[in-house]
Amino acid sequence: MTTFGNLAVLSLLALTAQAQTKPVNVDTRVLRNAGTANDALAGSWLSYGKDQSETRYSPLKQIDATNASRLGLAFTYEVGAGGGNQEGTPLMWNNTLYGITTWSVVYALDARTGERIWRYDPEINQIAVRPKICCGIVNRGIALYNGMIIAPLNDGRLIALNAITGKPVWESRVAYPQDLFTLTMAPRIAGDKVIIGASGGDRPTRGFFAAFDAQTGRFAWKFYTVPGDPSKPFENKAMEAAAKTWGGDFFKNGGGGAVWDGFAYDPEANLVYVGTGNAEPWVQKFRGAQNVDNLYTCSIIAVDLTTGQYKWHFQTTPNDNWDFDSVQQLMLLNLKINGRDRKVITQASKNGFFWVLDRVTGEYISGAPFVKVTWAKGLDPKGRPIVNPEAYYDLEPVSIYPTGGGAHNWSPMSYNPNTGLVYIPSSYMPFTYAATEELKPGTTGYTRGTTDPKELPVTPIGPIPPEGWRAGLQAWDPVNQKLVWQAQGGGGIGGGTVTTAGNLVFQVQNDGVFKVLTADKGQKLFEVNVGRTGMAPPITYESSGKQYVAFQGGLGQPANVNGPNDAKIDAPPIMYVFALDGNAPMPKPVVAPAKPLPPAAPELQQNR
Amino acid sequence: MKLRTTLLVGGLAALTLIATMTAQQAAKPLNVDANVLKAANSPTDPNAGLWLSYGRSPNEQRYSPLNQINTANVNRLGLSWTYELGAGGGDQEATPLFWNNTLYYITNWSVVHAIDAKTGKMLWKWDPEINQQTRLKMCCGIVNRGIAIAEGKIFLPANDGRMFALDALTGKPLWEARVAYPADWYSITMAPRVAGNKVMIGVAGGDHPTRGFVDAYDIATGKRAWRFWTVPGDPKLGFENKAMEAAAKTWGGEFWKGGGGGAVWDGMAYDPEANLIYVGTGNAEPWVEKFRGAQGVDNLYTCSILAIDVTTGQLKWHYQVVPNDNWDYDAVAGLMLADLNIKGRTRKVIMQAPKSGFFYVLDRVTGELLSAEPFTKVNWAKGIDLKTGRPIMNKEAFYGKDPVTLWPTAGGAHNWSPMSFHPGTGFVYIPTTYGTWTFVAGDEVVAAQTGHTGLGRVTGNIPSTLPSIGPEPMEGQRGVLEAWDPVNQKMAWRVAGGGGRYGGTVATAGNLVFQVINDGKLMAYSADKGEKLLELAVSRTSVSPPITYMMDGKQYIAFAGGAGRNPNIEGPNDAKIPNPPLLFVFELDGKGVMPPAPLPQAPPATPAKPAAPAKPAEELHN
Repeated sequence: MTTFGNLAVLSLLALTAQAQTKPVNVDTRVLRNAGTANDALAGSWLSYGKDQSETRYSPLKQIDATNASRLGLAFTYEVGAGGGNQEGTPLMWNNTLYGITTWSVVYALDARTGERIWRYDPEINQIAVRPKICCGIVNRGIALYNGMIIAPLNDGRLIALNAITGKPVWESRVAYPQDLFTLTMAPRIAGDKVIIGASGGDRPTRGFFAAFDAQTGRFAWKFYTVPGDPSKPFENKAMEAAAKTWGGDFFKNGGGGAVWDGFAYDPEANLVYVGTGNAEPWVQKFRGAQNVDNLYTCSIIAVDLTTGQYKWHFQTTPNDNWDFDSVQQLMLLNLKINGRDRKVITQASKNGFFWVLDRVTGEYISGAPFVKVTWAKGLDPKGRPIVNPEAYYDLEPVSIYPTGGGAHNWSPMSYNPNTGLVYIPSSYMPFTYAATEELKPGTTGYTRGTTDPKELPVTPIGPIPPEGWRAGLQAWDPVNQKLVWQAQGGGGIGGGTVTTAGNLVFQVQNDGVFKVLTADKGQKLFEVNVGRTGMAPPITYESSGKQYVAFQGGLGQPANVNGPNDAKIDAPPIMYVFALDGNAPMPKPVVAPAKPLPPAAPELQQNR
Repeated sequence: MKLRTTLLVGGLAALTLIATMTAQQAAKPLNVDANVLKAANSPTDPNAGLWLSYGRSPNEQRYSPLNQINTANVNRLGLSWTYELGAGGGDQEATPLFWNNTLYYITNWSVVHAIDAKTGKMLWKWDPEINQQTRLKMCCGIVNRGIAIAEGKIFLPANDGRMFALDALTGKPLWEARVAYPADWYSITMAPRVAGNKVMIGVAGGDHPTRGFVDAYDIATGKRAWRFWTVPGDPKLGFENKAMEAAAKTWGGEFWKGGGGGAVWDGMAYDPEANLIYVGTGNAEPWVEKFRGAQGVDNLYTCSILAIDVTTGQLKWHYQVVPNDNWDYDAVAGLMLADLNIKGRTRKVIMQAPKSGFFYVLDRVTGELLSAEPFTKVNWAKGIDLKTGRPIMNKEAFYGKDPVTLWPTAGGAHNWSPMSFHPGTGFVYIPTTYGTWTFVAGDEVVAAQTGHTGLGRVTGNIPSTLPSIGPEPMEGQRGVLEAWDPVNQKMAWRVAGGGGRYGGTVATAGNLVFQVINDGKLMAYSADKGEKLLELAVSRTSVSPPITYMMDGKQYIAFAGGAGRNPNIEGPNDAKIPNPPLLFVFELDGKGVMPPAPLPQAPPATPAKPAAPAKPAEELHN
């Protein structure tokens, strides 16, 4: 941890204040009030999920169902040379749009014109880090706190930049690529801390997430998600308990449980919530012992913000064999269920179930398949999946619903309090699983198999998708656990959403389609293809009285090319910003590269 | 009976305890704490066989009390073993460390190797995985000069501006600190030094628009304790301390826009009793004064020796070796502490033989200049005024649009290559360069990878016409090893070979001086008379300074050599290449087989396009 001088940031803020109208400083309180009646900056987008409940609901309604068809491109900004999907959710504060793109390059734009204010390139060692990132060179977002943009760098560092100048304020080490860790998730502010987890759960790593003082970058605590070598002292009681659900020399392969996406914070409960990834290796026979739960993989965990100690957990997939990470977006809602006001946490997991839990106690309230599911036949009264025994594959390949890439992956869902619906980008595909005979270094023990896979001889549960649909946007009623409407397109990766008080859902599909639907009925109001693939989720914001919708997209240069991140290329990734009656010219679409890279295993591209 | 049983059990327990303790003690290596490090200053150092810091001791004398290898048998030295250091990409400049039967070496791109000194096999290696694009910010080669050890930690300075503490036994990182960013033209090449509970590091980059500084970090946590800037910043932003306020009076115009220079990139020494860390600072930036805002001013604290309080980070005293530098005359060369009998008084001195060509002896407690004489041919100055401590300038040395050729070269009469001191002979062994450099001012400051100097282009051979002082060169010799008597400020003996860059030395109680020579030789001379006793060729050039150590009752000599991969080629640091840099270890009657010399390297398939150097890069060093 190194501090370069926070005083400088504050004085710069003061200077800016003198020059223009003083921006509202985004401190613990402002962040806590986001999304409430006391929201000081309702038209801004201050954190990854818009508010600390991660609902991605904006009260803006200048754009509504009556005029959404007038949407047009307001301006664009070329974000750099790329080299991977765009997955970053931008932030908007102080009339400035902040984005993070491939190789953790951070930039600030005038939110009204797209004019660049600053750009910060952490100059990551691409040669060394690329082989450590399992699933694409991506960043999902940044955090804003007290005049600083806090950015996670793919090479395992967390850096705070002066939001006005883009100069480093502090830098901390979260994990090392040398140990097969990388950072892809967005850091979140909780209280006065900034929290982040590390990717790497498809490699021999031991998952964790860590808290740092947001002002100074000083390390506060670290919570491991799986136990380490039991011959050494356990870090806490939670690890001691978890170790009973593992056997053999499990720790030699790390165990997995990576924390790489979902996070939420309840300031009243003083709890932070994370989702954890798959068990590692994927196939249980390589994890030391079989038929054990392998806590806390594929789980939702609540941890005390102050102490970093375990509060409760709920495992969505015990004894994972299918890469069923439970890291998807965690959303905190206050719902009336069976006549009772409940403080709940929800998740639409990779494994195909939508979960509603009491977020204070961890008690299971309800769970239901939101897509076609064959790996489990249902849930027991406590919410534990009843697994179809045939789903525990070995050498013989089997085809299982949903895909290991997930019924829902990292693409953000959203919740509209007016409709009471959650908008889930969902994938309807199956996945073929087979185990290798032995675990080769650098593998998960999984193989695609060489013969035609058999579908599991079981009766599927969950809504069966319309014929020919690979993916859809699903409006889900979390109280009654049922599908209200669905619209074709989008899916578990790509297809992120935002919903607004204008009775709208904005969705950006991975194929470059940006579309607008009514939130209550799913009627399509607007659709445009921007001519890029590898699309990030949208946000909406208001700046100088005008509502905008912004998202990044585009792959840029081939992922295996080493080069400067500001290299000029033919079809760079772009930040697209739309507004009513926008009439900026659409950048020319990407033409298919002459020699596309051979896809290694398409399904693997979806697992982080 | 009961009592007896108790006694027996007790006795057994005691025996077990003793056995366990002995076993543990045998297994447990010596903890390198402040006392152990300080004891290395003494000729009766109980750990004389170890090499625990860059200069072997905090006084940086590079004197080893070992004498098993001596004038009588040094000609029997032979190769013990070699170790491949990876893919390289630049010269080997690092001083190895030896502790716990382990040799520690930092090679190109700041990769640290821990090698079992008994077997020559790797124990661990740690690669900070630096983005090799950083090379575009490094003016003078991808090099590291050393590491530090204390409290079970290896302190690793990474070229890209970070410093790490690694577990010395496992190589796992314990903490990491950000010192500076390459994006701001900084890099790190020097060896960190431990002083008390802190570890000190400075930054290279003084030929680019940078503001020099030295940092202290807590060795336990990596938390920065203080930073001492060596030149003032923009006065409008306020001064960090009184020293900066005073220094700003020696600058004019908008000097801060060029950074100012004063990089801290090599020499340091530590006096635990005075609680002072001594730091040498580099050239003023840009080189040519007319681009520094005002002319005819001193530009403190460039080209200076600084004494800084270890606890507070505040300046105690300074001595400016070259006021108003125009010649890249960094004062960063090795700083050495000794207690010398001068005119009948024991004086606690600090000594330096910097690029400027004078050998300076100062009182290290007060900063008072005691003496200064040229140890090489000099004509930029006529001498040093002992009353004022200032050089008596040759006015013609302040060149303008007309080229002026001066002794010594901007590469330095003595550069980073370590000198050493023998308390028996009282001599300092200085790898010395006799050379000239032609300076001419440019019209503007042009940025280039090799620097931001403000120099113009020189065409043709311009002879040096100014009257000179100091010894004339040996016939046909540019590089020599000089035995210098610091008390009487005169040369005792000199021999050909080596030079200010490359040619590092170590002196031993065996009445020996070992020197490496950059074309791949290990030399040994008698310390008192300079008789050549050994000349041993290795199969690599670009060789690092030697150390000597003792293990299991046997004395060894170790150094590294070899440039490895073409520096313009990016690639993994553990790539197999045909000419890897090697660590060489020698012992009496060693029968190891010297690996073959590398074949000449083919040029890279697609040569990178380096910026046109303002001056031959070979000469620049910082």
